[in-house]
Amino acid sequence: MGNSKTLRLIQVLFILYLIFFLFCLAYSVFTYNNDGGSTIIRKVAFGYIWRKALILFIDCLIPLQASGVLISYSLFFKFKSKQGGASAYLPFHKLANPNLTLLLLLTLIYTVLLSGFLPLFNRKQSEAEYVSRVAFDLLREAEIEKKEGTTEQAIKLLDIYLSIDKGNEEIARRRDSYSVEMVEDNREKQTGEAEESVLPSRVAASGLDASDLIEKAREYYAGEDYFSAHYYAALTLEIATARSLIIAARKIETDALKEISSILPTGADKEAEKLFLKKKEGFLAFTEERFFDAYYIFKELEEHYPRDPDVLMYLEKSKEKLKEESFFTEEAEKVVALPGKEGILFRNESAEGRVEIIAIERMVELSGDVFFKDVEVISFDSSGEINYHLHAPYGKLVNNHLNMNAMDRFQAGKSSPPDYWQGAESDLLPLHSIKLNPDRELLSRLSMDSQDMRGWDLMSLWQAREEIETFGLVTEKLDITLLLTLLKPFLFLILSLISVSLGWSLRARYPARPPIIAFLFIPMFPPVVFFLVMVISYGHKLLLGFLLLSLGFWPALITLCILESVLLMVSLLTLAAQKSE
Amino acid sequence: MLPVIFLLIFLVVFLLIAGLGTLKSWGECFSEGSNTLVEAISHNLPVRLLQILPVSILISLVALFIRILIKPGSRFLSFLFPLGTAFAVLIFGYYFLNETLPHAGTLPHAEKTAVKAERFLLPGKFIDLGGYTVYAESLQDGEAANFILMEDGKSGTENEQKKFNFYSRVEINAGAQGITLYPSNEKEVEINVRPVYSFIFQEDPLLNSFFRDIGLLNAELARQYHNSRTGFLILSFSLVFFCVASSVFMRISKWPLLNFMIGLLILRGMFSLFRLLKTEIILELKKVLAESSLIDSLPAMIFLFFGLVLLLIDLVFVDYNFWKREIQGG
Repeated sequence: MGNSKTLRLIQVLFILYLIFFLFCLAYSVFTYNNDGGSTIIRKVAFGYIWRKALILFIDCLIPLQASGVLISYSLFFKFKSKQGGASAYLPFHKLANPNLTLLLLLTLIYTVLLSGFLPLFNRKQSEAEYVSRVAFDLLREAEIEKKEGTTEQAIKLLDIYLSIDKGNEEIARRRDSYSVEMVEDNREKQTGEAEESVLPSRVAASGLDASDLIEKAREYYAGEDYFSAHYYAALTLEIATARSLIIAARKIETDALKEISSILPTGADKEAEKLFLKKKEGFLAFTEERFFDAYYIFKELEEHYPRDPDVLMYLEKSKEKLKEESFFTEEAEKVVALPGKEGILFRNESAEGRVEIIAIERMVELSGDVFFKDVEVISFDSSGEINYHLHAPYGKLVNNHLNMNAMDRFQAGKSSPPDYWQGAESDLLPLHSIKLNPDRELLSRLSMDSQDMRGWDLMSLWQAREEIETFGLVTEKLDITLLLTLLKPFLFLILSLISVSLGWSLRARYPARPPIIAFLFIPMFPPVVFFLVMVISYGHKLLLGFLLLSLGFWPALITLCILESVLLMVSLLTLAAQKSE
Repeated sequence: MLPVIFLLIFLVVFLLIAGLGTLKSWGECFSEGSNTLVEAISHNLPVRLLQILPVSILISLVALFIRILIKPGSRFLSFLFPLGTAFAVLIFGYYFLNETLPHAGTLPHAEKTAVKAERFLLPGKFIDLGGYTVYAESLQDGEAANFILMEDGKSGTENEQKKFNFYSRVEINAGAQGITLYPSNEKEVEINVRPVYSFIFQEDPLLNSFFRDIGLLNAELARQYHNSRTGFLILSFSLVFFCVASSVFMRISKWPLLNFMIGLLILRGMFSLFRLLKTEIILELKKVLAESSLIDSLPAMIFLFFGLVLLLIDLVFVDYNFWKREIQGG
């Protein structure tokens, strides 16, 4: 008996869900190309349409569920023939009880969809929109380049396009035809031009070979200057090819590191002890390849000990290493065309107490590297003086520093530094980089775009809500989103239960099967219920907003839980109060 | 009993909507500080009460229909009492709120109390002002220090234009509709903007269309009240009459839930019909016909006409004791 009633509710809900999903799908097919202000490229269109339909479906699940339950209980659970042939209602508890488990299960599924899948779909949608936008921009730019006669640049742009829209034969053909054109043009021109220059080895440029360097390392080790010994051993390893030299250099490097780590200050000279400990800290940062940290430590030491050879040597070496941390423009160009986070804006406070406002158009993570596109930074102090104001086309995150020193891969030593509208490079030592206070994960959440928040799952919202305040973002935006997301599963269950009571008490009293005309009115239910759910949600939003602003997040959350528990109890009481006849 | 029940329902609906409306206006000026808050609420409350009066009456009427449906009394009295009570509450409520409470005649955006810049900006925070994003390191007495104005959608690369416009000092003049920035030695910037916390209290766009329709009806009622009391009375009566006459839909089928849904649709449709008449049909008619008070009263006439048609259908075709006979099997 119970199973058949549950089955009936499942049937009604399934049919309603299916019809609505097909409607969502049809709507997505006809409207997907109007989203995001641009056309969606073919490669991502299929997934985009499905996700759009699913997002719409999940967004409308509460009214849909309430409508389904209302219709089931008011139209489909009704008469049962008695033995004598006269019609009578089934006892209400026999209709309602088996379905309560189903409603709980559906609430659980809805919660998973809402907090897990919906943010994921939203993220994917934004990514697809961005990728399409970038792809079409690339095509446009390639056409312009071609018209201007720079076929090589056009091919490069089409290559980037094809890395996004793989398998687009039309564009691949266009790229190939450009390549053929370019080859023919080149044949006519003088061949055998100088090949691209290679970045000369910094060690080779110093004029010392591997055996000289290992000799120096040995000398310093013997003289107990372990910092220098380590330095020269490391240089030897960079260029040595002979096995014996490599083994010797490795041994000195390891021994020197061991010595440095084991030396304990005697405490006799406080100043020397302080210097040693700081040097050791910087040295360890250097050996662990935290070059930004090493740079700052040795920079600080240089101010107090400008003649210390170890400090000077490692400061110089840190600078050199930081130069190597530069990234290639071509690499950044390709990476930022991939999906990532948009519209990052935050307040960063420097160690000197200066305020930096940083806007990043796009942030993309790829294989552990983080690249930025269109970075604008303005720094000012409390008196209102601007320290610097710059724009960099690309940036890279290195040791939690925003590195804006882009290099050209094909032209050695040629860099593309930021454009300083105010201030100069000297304001951003070392090498056009800014130390960022937010870590990599938090950085991607510092966006002003409310739409972007739809891509956050519950955990991300929860984690970010306390952190983002120090970076100049309005926390209440996160708080209210979090509260409203938590509210939805409650609403789903409560409205389902109330719909059972309401549907039953206002059930159809047709003596036989309901007439066809009654079925024709069923599509009217979801829009009306949708409107009512919107009113109920808005009432909740006003109340929660008030509590959030006046009392704070936690009291608002506690009140939400209490209020929903009371409403749940009321909805159960209305169930219990239903009569069978 | 019907008038008493109606008044009780009305009181509950009215207080509920008024309470929620107050929360909204409170939230919108929350950032200004508590003194301004109390001022703003006390200043706006009569206006808000006036705005929610008609819609509260119409919702209460629909709720009353359920009671009449379940316990039908005399057909005549069940029509007359709700009609008379709702009409009386509407006109006397309107009169009371307009004449006795201060500021009720003005619309909320015509606020006379001073608006602080803090309503639209928060120090140390990025604020989205719709088209602009701003940041002020500090904000005091209408003056912001270390102020950054960002035009949305503008990238630093476009035409070498900077995204950030920095001003060490900016004077801010705030009004009910937004702010005007006066940067030193530069042209003023006027920004129409909603209060900083309005995003919390922002309604869904679909709900917004409903509020807009209610707003239009309120504006027309207020206009008629101040210009022509007869016009106001006719419009008020026609609305209440149409709403009471549409109770016929509560008895139209043997499926009470469907009847109730139709009742809600009629209520929503009433506001949409009014907007359609006011913003489309009357404007078109005014193009071809001379300005006349008859055109102005067209919505009232149409509601009266539809009300009469529904009443006629009710009297001729629909069984009054529907619930007792069909539902309770009496």
